[in-house]
Amino acid sequence: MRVGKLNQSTSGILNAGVYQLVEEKILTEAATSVTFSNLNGDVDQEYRIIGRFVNGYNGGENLRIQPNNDTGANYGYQNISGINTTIAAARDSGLVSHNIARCEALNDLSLSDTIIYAKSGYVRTFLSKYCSGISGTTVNGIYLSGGSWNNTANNITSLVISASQANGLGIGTHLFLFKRNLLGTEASSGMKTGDLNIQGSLNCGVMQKIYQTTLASAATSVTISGLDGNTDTLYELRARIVNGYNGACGIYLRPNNDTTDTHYGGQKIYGSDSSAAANHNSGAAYYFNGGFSTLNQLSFTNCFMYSKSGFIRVWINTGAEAISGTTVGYADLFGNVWNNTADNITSLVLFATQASGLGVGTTIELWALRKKI
Amino acid sequence: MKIGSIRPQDEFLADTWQRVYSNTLAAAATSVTISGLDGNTAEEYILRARIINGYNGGAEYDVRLNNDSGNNYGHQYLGATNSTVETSRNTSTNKFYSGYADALNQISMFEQNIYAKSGYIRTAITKQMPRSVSGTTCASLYMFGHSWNNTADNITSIVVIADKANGIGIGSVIELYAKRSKI
Repeated sequence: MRVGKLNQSTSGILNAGVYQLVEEKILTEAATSVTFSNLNGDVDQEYRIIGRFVNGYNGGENLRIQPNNDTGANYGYQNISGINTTIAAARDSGLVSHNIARCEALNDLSLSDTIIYAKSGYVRTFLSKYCSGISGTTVNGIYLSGGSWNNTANNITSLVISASQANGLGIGTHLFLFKRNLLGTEASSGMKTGDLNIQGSLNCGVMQKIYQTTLASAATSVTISGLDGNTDTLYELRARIVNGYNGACGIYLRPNNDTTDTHYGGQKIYGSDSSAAANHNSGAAYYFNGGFSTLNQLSFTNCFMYSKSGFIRVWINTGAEAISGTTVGYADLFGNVWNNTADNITSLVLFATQASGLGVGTTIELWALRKKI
Repeated sequence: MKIGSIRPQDEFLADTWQRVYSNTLAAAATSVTISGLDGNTAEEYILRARIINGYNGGAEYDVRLNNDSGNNYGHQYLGATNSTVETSRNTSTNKFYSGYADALNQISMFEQNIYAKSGYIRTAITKQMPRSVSGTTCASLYMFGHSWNNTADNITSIVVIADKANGIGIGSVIELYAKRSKI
């Protein structure tokens, strides 16, 4: 059945096999911890937590997660990180929490995305990526981290997000908790429907694709307009780009088509053949992806962005680049910042550094968080 | 239209990701096949797995599209084991290398984004994070960029394979999300 826009009630559950936002928290005063409670990890099975942290502590701190407020030495991790030009790896065990973000100084930011496998029966696992210590046009660090919580028995009924320093969760910290919902055929509650073919906004607390293009002719830039970053808050930009330029070409992402390169910065880690490296760039344009070297090479990039104004805007890109046949040139992870704190994001522009660099067959999608209204 | 809780019993096409396959293994297996797919329609998939090693030793977990076992895949990875950073490229392999566990009952978790539509070589990104998990020890993590050089065939199946017999142990969870676009 074709329907237009759906707007779900505050307590409504979308039992359609989707990830749905169950709660968000925006701090209006600093706190040392906040708790997502009334959870049922055994039923939900998986959670996703996205956080845009503002450091409320005058110094460096870690932002952490503790299921069921377990503060015992029951956690471990393996990570890889890039800080300035240093790429490094670290492992530790017997810890009291799993780190999901990091700040370096008062009022700097960190953007974080974590998947939690929550069902009991086995050690619980975390999959995190975050960029840290973000201020002005500086992204201090980028991290991939896998973690564990060694409790196999207890149902997860709460997730505590805490700072390692007092009042480290500063004003403006914004947290989103998503959970894995049942399929309609698995659920026992809610109104049964037949097939649904939603033509409009799905205001149910889900990420929804709001823009898609496949280029039939090469272009130097593609503009996604008509956005409202302050309402949407979270974007995911997904692109499979075909190099339309006969040589090296990079792709920039520019909110509101801000072409002033000194408004951007980033930190990246990458592997290329047998070389691993980290790059840092502050006060200069930074790539959405930048790994093409020859015509018709492909790149595949997923990017998520915190888009609401009030603070500098941050996004994280995961990418595979310079792909041709069975050769993949690069695997990389970027943390990026745009130092504009005031303007609502009304457009996103993907811009090639060479004419017609966005080749025929390039596909670009933008997904936005559609909250209940 | 204002709605409360709903549970669609049929297709749900809303420009969202929808789980189209879920399997919690009640018996160990060497491979799991997700069939009945239409990669040209879905365009993209997200494959997420939490694998329990069912083999008494090291086991590798791989993904094949349409069960193609030819040397038609390539990858570039960036990884970490303890304090060592590793990176390497392979341009002739027969799989998307997707996970690993060192010993029986260790856990390997991965998330794989697959651009599935034909017309170009297929691309994927895998985050193997963490691998070889036991208690509070996470032995390693890796991030891969992959390619499959087949430009023509519609992807109708995705196969998750262990390189050791019954390597995908009891309790392993494999789930596939597809992009469900409105029509």
